Amino acid sequence: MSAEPQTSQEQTEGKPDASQPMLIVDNVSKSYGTLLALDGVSLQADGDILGLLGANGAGKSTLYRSILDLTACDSGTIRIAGYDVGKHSVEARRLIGYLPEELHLYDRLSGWEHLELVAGLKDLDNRAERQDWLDYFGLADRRNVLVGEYSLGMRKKVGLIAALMGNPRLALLDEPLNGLDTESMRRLRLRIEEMSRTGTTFVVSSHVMSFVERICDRVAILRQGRLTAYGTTESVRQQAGMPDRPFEDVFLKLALD
Amino acid sequence: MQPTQLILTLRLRAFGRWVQAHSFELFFLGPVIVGGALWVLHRHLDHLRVPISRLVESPTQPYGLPITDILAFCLLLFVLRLPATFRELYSARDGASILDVLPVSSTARFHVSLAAEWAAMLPTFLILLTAAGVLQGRLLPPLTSMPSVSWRLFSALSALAMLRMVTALCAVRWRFAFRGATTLLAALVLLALGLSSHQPFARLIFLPWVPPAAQIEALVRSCVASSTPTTESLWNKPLTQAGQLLGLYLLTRYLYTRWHRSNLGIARQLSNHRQTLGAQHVLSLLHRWLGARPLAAQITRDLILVARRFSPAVVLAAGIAVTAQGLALSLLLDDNLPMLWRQRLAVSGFSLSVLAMVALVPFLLKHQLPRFWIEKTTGVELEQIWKAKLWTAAVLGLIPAGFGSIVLLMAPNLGATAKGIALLQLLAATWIITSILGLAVFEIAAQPVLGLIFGSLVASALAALIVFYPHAWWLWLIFHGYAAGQIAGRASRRVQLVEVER
Repeated sequence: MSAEPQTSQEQTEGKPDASQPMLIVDNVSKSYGTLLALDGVSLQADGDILGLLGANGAGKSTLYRSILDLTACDSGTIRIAGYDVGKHSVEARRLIGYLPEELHLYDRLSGWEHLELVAGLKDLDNRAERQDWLDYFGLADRRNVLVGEYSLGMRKKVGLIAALMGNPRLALLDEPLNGLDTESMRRLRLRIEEMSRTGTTFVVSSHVMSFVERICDRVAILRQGRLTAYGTTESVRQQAGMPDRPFEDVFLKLALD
Repeated sequence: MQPTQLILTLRLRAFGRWVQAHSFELFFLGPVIVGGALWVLHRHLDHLRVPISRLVESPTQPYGLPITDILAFCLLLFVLRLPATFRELYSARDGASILDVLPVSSTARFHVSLAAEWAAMLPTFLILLTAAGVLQGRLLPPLTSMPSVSWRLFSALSALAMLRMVTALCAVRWRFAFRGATTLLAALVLLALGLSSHQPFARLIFLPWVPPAAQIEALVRSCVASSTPTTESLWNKPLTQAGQLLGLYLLTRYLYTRWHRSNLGIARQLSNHRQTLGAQHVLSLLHRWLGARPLAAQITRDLILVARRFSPAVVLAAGIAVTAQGLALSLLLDDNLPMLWRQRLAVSGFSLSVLAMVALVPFLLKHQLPRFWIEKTTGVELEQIWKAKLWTAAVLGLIPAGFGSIVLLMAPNLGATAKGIALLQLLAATWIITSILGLAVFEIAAQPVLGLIFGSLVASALAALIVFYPHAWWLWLIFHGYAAGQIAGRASRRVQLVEVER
């Protein structure tokens, strides 16, 4: 008895393919009832830092959820290192570190136990790395305190460490700056730049335009589920016809007007 | 509208929405199951009516029913609700309550909390009294006794509610950590003291619970006995009751208005700090031993959450498990029962304690649903997610099963063969209960009660088959294999369908 021969496409989907971009979002649409959350969105990211921008309700979180296959797309495909996430979501997720905007953690686990849980789920044996991250974000002396006692910024740091430890190939950070103090924002920016140089692809959402402008190689701006601008910050400025204005003005024009 | 009315209206509206969301279970499934059970068991209930009537109508104790039993019942209600009272007063788990930062007077908040505490026990009482009435062949007490029943219900619930509030206020004031296990242990010690001793010291400890106990005793008599109570104790006289209630109300209100605001910070500290102690070191060792594997990480997380009492259901389950163990032990040591029945009833009691602990798993999953993104986004195999819950169920079930096994092995009045059979029956029942409930947990993840009802019915039926018809072991093996196979076959799909909340 012989097995059915695999097609070349199936073979490609079944394992990571270094020749393909890390993230390909191809003509993805998603609606909730009559609300069109994503409307034919296409973008790519590979080894760079992509800023995913938009006003509240523009579809950023839906796109993150689609990339993670937490929400099934109505049409279009998403590939991560060659994996079609609709068919190989588990394999694709192993390559991703994710920080959601609404960060639900266990109040009755300590910060360290949280990281231990995520490390276990990712099958990582990385005590030293976890400790380094905690030192880096100034959480080491509070590592055994319950998350229920943490401030918003401390919870965010736990979420960030959980997303970034183990050097994921693709990091999806939805509003990573919320609750962080200035020093922590700076540290996060430095670490993102450092990880990007070593090959991690980032997709980052933020409403802090100075951060976006400084850190992102390219930006994608969503408005009511449609991609209204996509490219480097300079090309997006040109596209908006505002080459000399602050990026905040450019964003407001493209995302809201 | 007054603040008290406004807050109560909002809470009633929230309760109404909860009832609406659970209307299927409350108004269809629940009555169908209870009605079906009554229909199946009605012949056995006929046998029970005679001894209960005899007990109530021919009292051998000063209060009709043995007062120690009623006191034990009061104490159980008191202890089981105490953690919820703590949360009601301090909103400690949810951080600062919105009411803490609004200009709402302490008196208004006190009345809201009192009403909530009062209402929280009402369903339990109504179910128990209805069950007591049904056992005697009628649904409602005689119309003539309705005013006194209503008054007794009101005063018993009020007294218990205020006693809990006073205890919670004092405990926080004196920084006594609200640990479920500690509270439960204290209650058991008190209970043992009360049941085994008639010393003045024991009576003094029980004194606060005597008025509500007397009310409950009269209440049960009103609902069960064909006539109104004939014996009137000091505690039963309406004037005495009103005086007790007024005194308790003034004391509770005084302590609340004086201490509540200053207690908020202490309550928050107690709620968090105490959680870092306890089982942490043991579980940390367990984690190291199991290694950093997805399955081990999930089981360790589950056990930590249970050890840190993720929900009041943990205390409730532990209480039921301990009570069932105690019941099994007392039945096992009762030489008036034939040996076969001693063995059967003891195994049933120990199996019930296993069921109580394993029943926590559906509630654990419900608690985890808002954080389910952690499992879903880290690339864990779906199979490992449902297997983790199966293993958690097994570990939780093995704790009472282990204790039961030791007791069975040490039982002085069981023969060696009977011990061996009982042990095998208990282990088989534990296996069935943990596997069925552990596997079924993802069937209705968002509705743990519904899942629990279905899972418990299947598991209990199979476990009963083992205990009462052990010679038909092949039958339960087939049934169990079929049921477990069916659920396991679709478990991964069920996990995939669990929605990650936004």
